[in-house]
Amino acid sequence: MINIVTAIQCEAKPLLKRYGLRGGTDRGPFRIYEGEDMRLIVSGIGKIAAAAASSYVFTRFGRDPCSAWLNIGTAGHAAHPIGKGILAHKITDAGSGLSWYPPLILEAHRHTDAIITVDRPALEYTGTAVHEMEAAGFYATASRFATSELVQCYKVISDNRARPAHLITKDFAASLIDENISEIGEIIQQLNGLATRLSSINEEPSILNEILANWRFTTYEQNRLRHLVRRWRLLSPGGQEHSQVLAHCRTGKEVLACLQAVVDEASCHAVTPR
Amino acid sequence: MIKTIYIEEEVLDHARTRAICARFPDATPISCEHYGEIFNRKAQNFRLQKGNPALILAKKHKNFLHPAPPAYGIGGEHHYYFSHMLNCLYDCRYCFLQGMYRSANYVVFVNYEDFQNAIVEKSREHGGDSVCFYSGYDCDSLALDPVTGFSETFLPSFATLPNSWIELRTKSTQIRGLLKMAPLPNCVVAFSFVPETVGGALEQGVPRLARRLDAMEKLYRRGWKLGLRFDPLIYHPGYAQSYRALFDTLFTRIPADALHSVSLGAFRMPEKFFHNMVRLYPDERFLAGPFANRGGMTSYQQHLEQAMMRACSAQILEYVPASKFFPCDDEYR
Repeated sequence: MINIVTAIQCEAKPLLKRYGLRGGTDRGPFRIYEGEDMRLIVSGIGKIAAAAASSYVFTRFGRDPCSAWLNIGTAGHAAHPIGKGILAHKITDAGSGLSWYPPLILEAHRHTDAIITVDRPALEYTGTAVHEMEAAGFYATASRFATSELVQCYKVISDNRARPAHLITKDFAASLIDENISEIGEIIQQLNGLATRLSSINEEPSILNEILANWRFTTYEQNRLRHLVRRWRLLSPGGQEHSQVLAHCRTGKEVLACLQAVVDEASCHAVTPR
Repeated sequence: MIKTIYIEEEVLDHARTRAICARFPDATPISCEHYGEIFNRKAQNFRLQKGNPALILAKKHKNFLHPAPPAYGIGGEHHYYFSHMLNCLYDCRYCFLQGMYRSANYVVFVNYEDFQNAIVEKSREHGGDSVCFYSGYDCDSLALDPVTGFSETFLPSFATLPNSWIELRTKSTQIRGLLKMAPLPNCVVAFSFVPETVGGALEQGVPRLARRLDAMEKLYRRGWKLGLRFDPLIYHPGYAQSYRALFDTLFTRIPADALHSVSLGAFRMPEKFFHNMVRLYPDERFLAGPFANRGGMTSYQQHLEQAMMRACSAQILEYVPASKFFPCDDEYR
């Protein structure tokens, strides 16, 4: 699953069309669109709005720590050509001076640059960084919900010294995103791939829920059970079914004792390098 | 191989920074205030980063030397380790670094001279006592040597410290820098090994045993002192036979008089590191093995650890005198 945050509707439009995302019926504080393995929220302009929207998505949709996050939008730069797509490698909040460094582990990006998030539109076109208004709020928040490799920002240059911001129209902003939709697609695909990989690594063994349904465990015991079941499955992947091994157990404590004995036995005799 | 280089602003113009960056002309340089902003940040996944680690060039400001952990010694009266680099090129599933650091990026502290000054000072502080300095504790000493120029910069300073030793600990074959130099009598080039079947399953990127043996042979023929490190010992059924085969291969090829020291240590690490490793690699069978927690450390169950240490110690002592053998516990000498 990937959560995409855009500031304004016209930046979202090409993505909604490309991925067939559909809006929900309920009227919440943000407009949210959903499709297969993808969710898009239109946050509104500014870092606070981006942070609030990211939090809203996280808390409303299951608090999945293995989802990816991508902030897509338009930005200004003194000299970069209009339409150039940039993946952020450093995000600095101009207000606080704090910086974040999204890990660059994707293969899909061609151009990366430093991004400065400002509180008001920057119309002077000075400095060497890309300027925009959401990335810092988005990144600071979304990287609390997922590991930072899964959190990225992608901006398309919409204005520069030669073609300043007042010339941007909604249609123009939409067309800039649309022109970069293929590169955005690669980034989404790779982020989704990483998210799926992480999710699969952290997936609980299916028998855990069956055991939890049949016996009672305290919270501490549940953690111990989780640990033992993981080890048991790794050490005896083609071993006996839990229904056979645990058939005689009457309580959760007996289950834990039984699994501990099985794991102890298996770990000494079956730990061969793969 | 390196696509991104983070550089602390303070060392942007450092000669070593420029030299290292020149080795990676296609890498993206990114300036930062302090390496910890990248390396120590929460919400990082070591496993995901390990597939594509970045290089971080930084300056170390203090704490250049640390007392080596007990039983890390290879002779000598005082023991210190230093880390000009954090993290390792290789990806070994048993390695404590993956449980200790949040990031898999490589940090290189480019102010080598400050480390060297600290070494000279510490060496003098101990008068005529023999002092050992270990360089491969938080990294592989030589794996990135062609890039970092570590050996050619550090080793000459030991020529002026006859009471001190330096140990370079490595799994690599990067010995070109050493072969260009005259051998230093107070330097031990120590190679770490596990049996080939274990290495094949648990190590990624480590050169094959045969290539490392070739490198060792070149070094001792040039007069360098060698070390063998079997630390950590990895338990598996039939371990006695596979370690026997490894010892046979190594000691047949490397004559005892070329060896400065052989050390042996059981798998052990702080519980917290082990817990982090399990969290990162819940699908790793090795980590589901017969481990136990004792006194805040995770190691093999005591009876297994003792049996392995006894068996391997006995085998090693068939090849080398006790004076060159340094098990992590004196009980096994």
